Amino acid sequence: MKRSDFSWRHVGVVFRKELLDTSRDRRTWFGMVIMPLLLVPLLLLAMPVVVEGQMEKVRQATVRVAVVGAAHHPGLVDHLKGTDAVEVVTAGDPEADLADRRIQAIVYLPEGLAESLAAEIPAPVRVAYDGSDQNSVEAQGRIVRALSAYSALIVAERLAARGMDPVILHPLGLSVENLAPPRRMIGFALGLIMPMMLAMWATLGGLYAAIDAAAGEKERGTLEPLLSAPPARIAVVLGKYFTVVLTSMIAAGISMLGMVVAFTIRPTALLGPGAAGTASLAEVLPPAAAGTIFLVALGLAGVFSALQLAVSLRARSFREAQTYLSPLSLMIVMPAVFTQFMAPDQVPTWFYYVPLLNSLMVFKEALMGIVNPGHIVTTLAVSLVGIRLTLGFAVASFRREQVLFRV
Amino acid sequence: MLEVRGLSKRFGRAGILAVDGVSFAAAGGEVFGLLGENGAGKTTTLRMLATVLQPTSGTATVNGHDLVTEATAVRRQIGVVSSEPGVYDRLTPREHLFYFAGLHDLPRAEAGRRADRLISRLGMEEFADRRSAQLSRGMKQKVALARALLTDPPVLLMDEPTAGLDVTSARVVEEFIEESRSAGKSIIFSSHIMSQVEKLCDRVAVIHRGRIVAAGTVTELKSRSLQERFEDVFVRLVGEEA
Repeated sequence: MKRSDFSWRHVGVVFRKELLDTSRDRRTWFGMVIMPLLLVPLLLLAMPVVVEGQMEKVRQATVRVAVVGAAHHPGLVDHLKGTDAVEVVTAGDPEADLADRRIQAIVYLPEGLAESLAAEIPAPVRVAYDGSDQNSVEAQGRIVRALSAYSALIVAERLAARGMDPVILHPLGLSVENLAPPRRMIGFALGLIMPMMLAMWATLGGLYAAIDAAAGEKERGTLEPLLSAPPARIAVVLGKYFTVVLTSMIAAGISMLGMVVAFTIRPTALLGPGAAGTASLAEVLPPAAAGTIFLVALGLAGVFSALQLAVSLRARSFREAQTYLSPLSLMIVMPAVFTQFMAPDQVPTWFYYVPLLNSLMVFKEALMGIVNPGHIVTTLAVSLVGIRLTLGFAVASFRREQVLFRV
Repeated sequence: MLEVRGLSKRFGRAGILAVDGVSFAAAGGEVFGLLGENGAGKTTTLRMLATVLQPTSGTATVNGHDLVTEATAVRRQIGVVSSEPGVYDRLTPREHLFYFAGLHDLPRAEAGRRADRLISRLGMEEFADRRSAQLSRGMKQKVALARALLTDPPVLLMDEPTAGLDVTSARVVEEFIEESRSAGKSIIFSSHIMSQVEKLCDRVAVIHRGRIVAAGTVTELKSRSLQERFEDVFVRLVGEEA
């Protein structure tokens, strides 16, 4: 193929056709628009509400507690009975009842407890619970707090008997304050979820378009007339490639739009516990951060679009291509989950030389308000090398008869 | 118009010889038939002529352009129709024609004029603006015929174009071939249907295991093998080679 055979006009012709074709494909719309538009607000808004609602339900529920050896200290049992949302019950076989979730905790009072306390001898009190049951975990917390409060009462009485003020036990007036401004708290929350979302849509948003443009052409029998038309193979590949990149970028853009929608609807949903106030969208996503996210997402889309085209071309049918490409989602989600709780400014430098890992970290930085030009440039340079390699692979695949006709 | 010289094709690591030194020529206004059983090498020969496959050796000249060294120029001289219409389901026939016009660098206004003319000529007015997914196989094959004629190429490569079509649709294809011959085009037509080859082709090459085992007019082949029915001629030729 001579270089002079290549024409950008042909790239445009193929691109426009692919765009028209893919815009009429319901699967592409589902993957490109509907999923990112729904999933991001769902994760940012609905999930915290559901989780918080569940936690609140657990906090509100009355827990049933059995006391073994209640006769050894009726006063302590009365104290437990007086505790909010704690019901002291009688159980024939407390451990079986705990296993069956009929009760949520067991308190074991040792023999001679009252006497030990009177003699100021420390006495062991055991609390048993079921760690696999959220209500039981909550019950354990309440009982331990109630027993600690009772313990503090006894200490106060003992100090008073010795003519001492119980306040001497608390020399430090402790208070805790979260100084992270709302912008940082929101950035931290977004940094947990959005890098994965952005990476997913920038890489997989164009999956159906890629499969349709390669394996789909083969399956429909349209590849042969296309390849016997004048455009150079590289023009055909580029036309298809730009369509897949654009589709991926639209998906990534829509996931960002989902984030903006979620933020606009309920900005406080992203503030963690202990944070006050709120931040504007311009503070959370300044132009530099948005620009960085756009460029890095474009790099990711660039690498993965070519890879998907090349792999899809190796399949005989749409379904076969889906089988080949489905592990790709795992390849993207795994590092995203792996790095979810990592601080981007504390990971080793080599992270920024590994494709995908670097993008995930730079997304996180941008959302957290960190601008590290070195990280951005390294990530973009790695993506450019990746694009050169994967696009070269895609063009080579479109030139290989064995791949085109599986001969 | 078309001259094929010693065209060969080997496939895969095993080096299977699918086409073995095929040579023939077809003039303008001539329908040249490639007759052979499934797997004889017809499709591979036509794919090489369509520049989709690279010949292992040999070459061809298509309207003065060399197949190997001037592939792009060759693509501008050919129209391709195969058994699979190869039409985009989500495009309408008119959009499909505009797409291929664009690939052939036809200006949009000219593409529109040609598309209108072909839509009218092939009786596609009713479905020209319907998504192709809703079309029958016969309708889709009409789109493929229109696509092949869009640039008015001097050479048409037709690989079993009536396969899977009903009688009426097959008749449309046959009329198309006859009209194209009258228009002075050189048509390479592959088939394994004897009656069709006998009816349409001016000259025929019988291809078997990648090699041309006999070539000439149907009458010549019949007289050479002393058979009255063309089917018997073919069976005898292929049988001798087996």
